[in-house]
Amino acid sequence: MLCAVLTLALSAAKAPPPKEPTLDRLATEVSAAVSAKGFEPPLGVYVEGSPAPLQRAWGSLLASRLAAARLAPVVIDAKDATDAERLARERGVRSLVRLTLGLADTRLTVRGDALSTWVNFWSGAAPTRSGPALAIAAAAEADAQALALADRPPQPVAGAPLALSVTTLARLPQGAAALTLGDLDGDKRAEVLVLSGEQVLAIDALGRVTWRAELSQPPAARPCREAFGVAALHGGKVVAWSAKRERPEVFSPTGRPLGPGDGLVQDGVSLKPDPGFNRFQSAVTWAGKPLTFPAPPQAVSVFGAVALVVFPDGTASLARGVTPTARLNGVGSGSALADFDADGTPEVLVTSARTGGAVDEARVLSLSEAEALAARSGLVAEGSALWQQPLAGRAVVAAGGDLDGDGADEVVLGTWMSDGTGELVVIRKVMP
Amino acid sequence: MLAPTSALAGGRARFGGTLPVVLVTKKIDARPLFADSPTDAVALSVTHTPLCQLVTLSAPAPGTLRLSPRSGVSTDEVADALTRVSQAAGPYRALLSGVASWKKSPGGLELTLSGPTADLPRALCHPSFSAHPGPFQGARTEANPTHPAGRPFLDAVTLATADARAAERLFAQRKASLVVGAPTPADDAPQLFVTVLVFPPALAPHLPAALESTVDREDLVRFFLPPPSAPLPGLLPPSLGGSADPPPRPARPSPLTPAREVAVTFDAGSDVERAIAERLQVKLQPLGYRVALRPSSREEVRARPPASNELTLQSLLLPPSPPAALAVLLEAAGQRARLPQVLSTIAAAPEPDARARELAQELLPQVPLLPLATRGVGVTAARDVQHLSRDASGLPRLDELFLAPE
Repeated sequence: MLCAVLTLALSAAKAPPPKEPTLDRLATEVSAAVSAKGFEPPLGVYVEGSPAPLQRAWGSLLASRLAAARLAPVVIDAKDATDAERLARERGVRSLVRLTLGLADTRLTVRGDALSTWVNFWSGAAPTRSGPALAIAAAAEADAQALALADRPPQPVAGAPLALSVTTLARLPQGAAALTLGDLDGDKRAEVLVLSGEQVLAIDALGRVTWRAELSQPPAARPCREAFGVAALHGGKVVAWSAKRERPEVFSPTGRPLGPGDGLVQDGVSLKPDPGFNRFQSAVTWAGKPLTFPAPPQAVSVFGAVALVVFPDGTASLARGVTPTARLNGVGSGSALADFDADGTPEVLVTSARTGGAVDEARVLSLSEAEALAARSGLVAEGSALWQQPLAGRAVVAAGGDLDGDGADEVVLGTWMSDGTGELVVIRKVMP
Repeated sequence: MLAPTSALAGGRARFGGTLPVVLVTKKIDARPLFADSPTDAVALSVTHTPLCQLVTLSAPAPGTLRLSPRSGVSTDEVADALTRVSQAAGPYRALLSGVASWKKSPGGLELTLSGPTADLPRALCHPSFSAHPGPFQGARTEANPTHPAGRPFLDAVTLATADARAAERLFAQRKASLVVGAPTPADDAPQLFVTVLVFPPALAPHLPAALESTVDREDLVRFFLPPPSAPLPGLLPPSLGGSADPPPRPARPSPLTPAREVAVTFDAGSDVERAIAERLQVKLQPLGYRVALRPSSREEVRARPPASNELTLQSLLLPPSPPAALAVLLEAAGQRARLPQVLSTIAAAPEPDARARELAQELLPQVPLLPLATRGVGVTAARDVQHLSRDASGLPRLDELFLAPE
């Protein structure tokens, strides 16, 4: 009998390189330029633009950066840029940055100047200028945070298709019940850890089996008819559970069975099996916090603070640490998050939820596109895909991670073929 | 056209739902030893599981086999199934040819062999070896959560009987999602339900010549058997690699004078057998046979040794193995004495299945049995019925299918 879940530490979740939000990045860039020019503090900061929440938020971030650069920023609230210079002089600040923040479609731009407002004693009342000056122009693609501050729903990224390739990594005598990616041998490269039949296998990026172990737990009293389970890597140990076995088991990196385990952690989410079914219980633990999904999850893929949770009815949610409410429709269980283009934001690879037909289809959506679709309970087929391609067989399990150590993620799909065999298929970015 | 859907899919199987099934038959007889019509075999498969899915087979020592029950299966159930088949008054006991005895052991059942078996691993997939637990259980045939292969995807199935026209109407009204036994076009599924005529050896060679010269198997199939069905010219059906070519038709023998009185015994509950018997009656009459029709219960047809002037129509479900099927047919023809020699010859061959097919052709003229027709299981499925597959006998796997939203 499967008992209470042991919550293992959460390091199993992929740890993507943290990506700086667009607003922070622009603030840092402008601050660095101003600081490098040698303006004398205190420095007046005037930011105009709309909408107001976006303008205020970015102004605050810029002031924070300037303060860190010891420029003693003073926020100037004026009706326009000319008035800002007057107010700055009245308040005795020595320098002033005057910036206009704009958002056109998804392009965030900052334009303006920086000037010295110090007036020589001999100038009298005349507002003479002296000292350094700087023209400022910076731009960046707005991220979800910036769009949210502008009260705009994330828009599909048009015209930025991904070039991905599909290759077969390995063939299996049976379809994969579960798989994950992780560095099993400490060589800084991920291996594919796959549960197939009665075995757990580690397969490297060249398709070589580098480790294998046989499951040894007794048959489940209430087995699942379909190949289903968990393959996870935690603290250098492999946790494997087949839904045809009574309990999960833990293996050491050398493959020596250590004994039965108590819990299952998939990408940092502790899961409880639902005996006899190809799904887990709705109640999970994520980052030490109990959480109840709106339906029993069938697959979970975590990237940083975002989780793609696929449910048995062909819907999926993008969760951010709380119970999700919005759902994407038409999502198969072989779906995962992965950062194909190494920009720090995951893309969403989804397979079809169809339960009939001879082929499956994989498509990649941007995270913002997927979230926009979910917000209106849309079908993934309605979304603007960055990439899509038919697949032979039935992609039932998936995992994302950096398989070849190139800094960009790959997705490994476990496909079930009509003759009962399985394949591991790798989807990766085509290198120029 | 109503057709089952393909078996390949994109997402995982969906659990839940009740499948209304209509069996095109007058009544259901789901006893393992008598499940030799397509509808009865399907009904049996709902609540029983063939032994080949309930045990693992191993050979711990020469001359022995071990049947190890899977988790949740009792050794007694396995032993009961073996006992049932071995004591059966009928052709299926040939499936245990070469098995001398068995006894319980800590690892399951130890079988002591007296010679080569009739391909026991595949023979155990025959419905006559079916045992509990089945994928569905109880009066409401609900999913069995502890079935060794796992809980079926469906929550339950409901079985009803109807004639073909009523079944079609229920299907059109969406009151039935699966119809079994209605006429459907032939497909790749195995056709292992055979109908044969066993006759007394003393009536050879005139009777077999008379039958071969006057009975047109194509006509029998066209007029009396719902598709998918086909003529059966040899002992083994084409699904097991037997020849599909009609044998050369012998010259019509001279009519017997005086006329000979014979009886044709058949299963009174089978419309197909009755129709064939009546056809034989008409066809043999000009050749000097006065044929009496003798409808009997299926048990009686199997159990009673035929009289010297008695022809017996038998409908059998052959196992999905050429050697085992040949053994069943020899037993049906009263040729049990040949079995050890035949099975030894097959076992000694590098390719036992091919050797069994050769022997079937060689033995056809020597055995008092006339193969007539073979039949498959017609299945019509609604669009929301997914993952419809068949087992080695051609039966639809109700435990494997699931319902998907249309």
